[in-house]
Amino acid sequence: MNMFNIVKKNIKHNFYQYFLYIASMTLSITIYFTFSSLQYNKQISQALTDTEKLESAFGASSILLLLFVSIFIWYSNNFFVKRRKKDIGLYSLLGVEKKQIGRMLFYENFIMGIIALLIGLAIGELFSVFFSMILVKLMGFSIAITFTINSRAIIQTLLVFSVIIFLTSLQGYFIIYRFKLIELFQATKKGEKINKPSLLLALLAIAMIGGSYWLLQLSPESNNWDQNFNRTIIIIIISMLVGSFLLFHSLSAFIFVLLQKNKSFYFKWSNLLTFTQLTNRLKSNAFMFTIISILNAVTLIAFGFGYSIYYNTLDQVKSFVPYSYQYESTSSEVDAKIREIIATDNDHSLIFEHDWEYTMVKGDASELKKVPGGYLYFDESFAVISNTTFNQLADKLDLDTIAPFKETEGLTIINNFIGSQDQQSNLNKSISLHSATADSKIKIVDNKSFSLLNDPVQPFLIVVNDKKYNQLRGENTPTTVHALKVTNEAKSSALTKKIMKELPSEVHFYSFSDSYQEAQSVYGLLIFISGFLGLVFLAASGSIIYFKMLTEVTDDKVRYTTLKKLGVQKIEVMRVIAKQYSVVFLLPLIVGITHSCMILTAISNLMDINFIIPVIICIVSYTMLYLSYYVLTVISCNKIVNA
Amino acid sequence: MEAILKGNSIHKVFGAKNNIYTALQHVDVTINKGEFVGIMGPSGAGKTTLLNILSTIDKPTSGSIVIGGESVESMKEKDLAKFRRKHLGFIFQDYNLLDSLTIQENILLPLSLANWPAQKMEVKVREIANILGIEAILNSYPYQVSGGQKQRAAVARAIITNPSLVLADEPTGALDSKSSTDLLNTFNVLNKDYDSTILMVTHDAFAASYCDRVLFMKDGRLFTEIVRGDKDRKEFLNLLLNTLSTIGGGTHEHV
Repeated sequence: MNMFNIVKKNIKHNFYQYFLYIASMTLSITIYFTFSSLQYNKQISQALTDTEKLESAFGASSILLLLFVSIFIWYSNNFFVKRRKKDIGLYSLLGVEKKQIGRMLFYENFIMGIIALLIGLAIGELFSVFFSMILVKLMGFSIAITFTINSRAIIQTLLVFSVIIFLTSLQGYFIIYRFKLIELFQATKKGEKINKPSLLLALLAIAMIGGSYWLLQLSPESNNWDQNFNRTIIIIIISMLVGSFLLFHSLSAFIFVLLQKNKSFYFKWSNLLTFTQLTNRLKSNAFMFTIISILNAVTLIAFGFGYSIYYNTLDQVKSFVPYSYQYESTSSEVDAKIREIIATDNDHSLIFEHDWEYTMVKGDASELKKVPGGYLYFDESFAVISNTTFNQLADKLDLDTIAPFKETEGLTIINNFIGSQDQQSNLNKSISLHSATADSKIKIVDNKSFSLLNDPVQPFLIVVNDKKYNQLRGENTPTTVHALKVTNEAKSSALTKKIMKELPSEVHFYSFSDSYQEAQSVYGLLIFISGFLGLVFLAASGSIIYFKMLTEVTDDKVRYTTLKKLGVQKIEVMRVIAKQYSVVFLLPLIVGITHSCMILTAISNLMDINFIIPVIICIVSYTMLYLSYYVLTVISCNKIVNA
Repeated sequence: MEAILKGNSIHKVFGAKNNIYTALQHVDVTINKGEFVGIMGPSGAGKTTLLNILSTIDKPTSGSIVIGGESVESMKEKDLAKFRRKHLGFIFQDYNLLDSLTIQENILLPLSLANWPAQKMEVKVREIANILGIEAILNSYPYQVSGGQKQRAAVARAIITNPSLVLADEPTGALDSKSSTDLLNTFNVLNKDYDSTILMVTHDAFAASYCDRVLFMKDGRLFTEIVRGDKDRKEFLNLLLNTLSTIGGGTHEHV
């Protein structure tokens, strides 16, 4: 019998274990290949005007994915090798040379890797069509995706995974050299030591997690955040990670001890079996629990964030793009023509049309605590509008009007995309507006947060007294804004095209529908990538628990046989398994959800966007998918035990 | 005398069609209340198959089994589980204690399955542990105690519900001779002082010599039966060894 025959026999006899390993490798390869096919999909990059965005978003994510996929393969390889240790030991005992065993394991792993690679590419090719359809839909394009073979993606995937497979095969080759024979035989030895619950560590766990939550909920406006942003983030992440580990490692042991004190609960047989088993495995499970809860949290944060932004797209665009159309009026004929186009359009009708003007004035804002980017972008200028103009606009846009100011007073309008809208820190500070004669000092008495212009980069708007405005207008040329608002503006891209034809090309024209389309394509991409990564992480955490539980239950088969001999029914055995695994699945899920909610709340405060509904939708759908893994695990384990 | 167990014409066939192996051929067994019965025989004689069938873990191909007046072979899986819980106690060669439970928790598991209140369970465990001399290890885990102690714990688990019948499959198989003797003496105590009915499968004549009656099996049939009567243990042992050598297998070296 030569080496190849032994390998073949091995695969036949341990088919299930090999199958699991190949399946998890195939999964990783499929995911990676699907993603890189999307990355290099010509149809999608052609549809996008701004391909740089696509490339950078996909590029960064694919590195994350690669990192993750390698870790996952490494994990499953370790899992697999662990289960084979006894075989390896037996060969060694029977006198097979170390070199031969090493070579056998190398070939075995390499062959499996190649099989997984081929299957992965085939499935990935199909998946990529499916996922590009989703991506295109999310980005709001209307193109039909055709089936294409993407050679660049194939080559990249082949290259990356050949290296990974080679490295894992090499790991297999060296395993026989790494362990002593006796260690190979004791690989699955039972009787783990039980953690002594330490009150100190349990308290530390609470303190670390509580502390990180407290830091997160501290207003991001606080000085500490402002000055030490990076340091604060690092402290939060580290204390969350370490805290979670300690939580599972120590606090849970502590809780189990407390449960043990309640004898009538603890001695109930199903509780007895569930909790002793959990406590017993706590040491080896604490690390897995931590990993899973972090994976859960990261997924929920990524997806929750992406979905929230996507969910709020319309509101976001509305608050930054107040008019359906805005352009600098050149002649009344053009205005009349556009009016006519809108009037003859069946889908849209005019709500209002309004001309107004502002004047760019250079000035000094050094006294202010917060200065919007537009100030520097427009060469240290303010866009000044008069009190009357503001009130006219406010009337059109359904905003509160303001009472007249004194000549030395003013109101700022700052609409931040990121960061809180709370800009009251500038109140009662002064700015000065330059003039040929004398600079005028304006005290800021109020601040409002909305946009009065469609411009992608908005100037720093300041509202002043009418008399002051007229004085400034005399020295600087005013800009006239022609603003139109139509009904059903989110779906007005056809109308936008018609209007654009009438306008001279040099005119600055900003439409709601273009901004909306732009936002949708960007946020669609964002939600796609976060959703994709979310699914990957879900698959990973699910698989990790699945593998782990399958291993444990195979080791514990004798235990369940004993129980059955003692008169426990099959259905009751399944109930014990279901109960035990519900804790295994739920603990990391709950911790993951709590972590992600805390972080999302902080982001929500920072960005002033309402996250509640989209995040709830996210958590619910994630939990459903996650629980299906739980059901799958219970069914598989039940099959092993009760077969 | 009242019969606890009555097996009538038990027949067991393994395999299918071309590859049939008959493990038991119409075996009749009766065990009376308060008896300590041994089953002996060479490997492959069908001892363990018979025990598995009598203990309701396996089903016979044909034949009937009545335990404590209840007919077992027609029961459903669910009822069987309950029946085992109530009427049978098991002792295995490799103890089959649950690793994650302390000795005390292992022993009280059958009571817990019967939904006893916590306090009563603890009292009962203490009582049994006292008889078996394992109070000191109640809070240890199985991997922390010796083989003999593990087997005593398994015995405690088997008898804690006062079962009608205790079934032991090679209980001394993994024990050294000192622990074996201790265990067998314990069986005698349980049998004589606590009126337990015990059925023990063994290939060890020394272990069998503690029984009141020994059934010999060969090739799936009951070969003969030897009753100890008023013979002393040494005499009985010699008788068993002689019988064994006539049916082949099991010689003095097993002692």
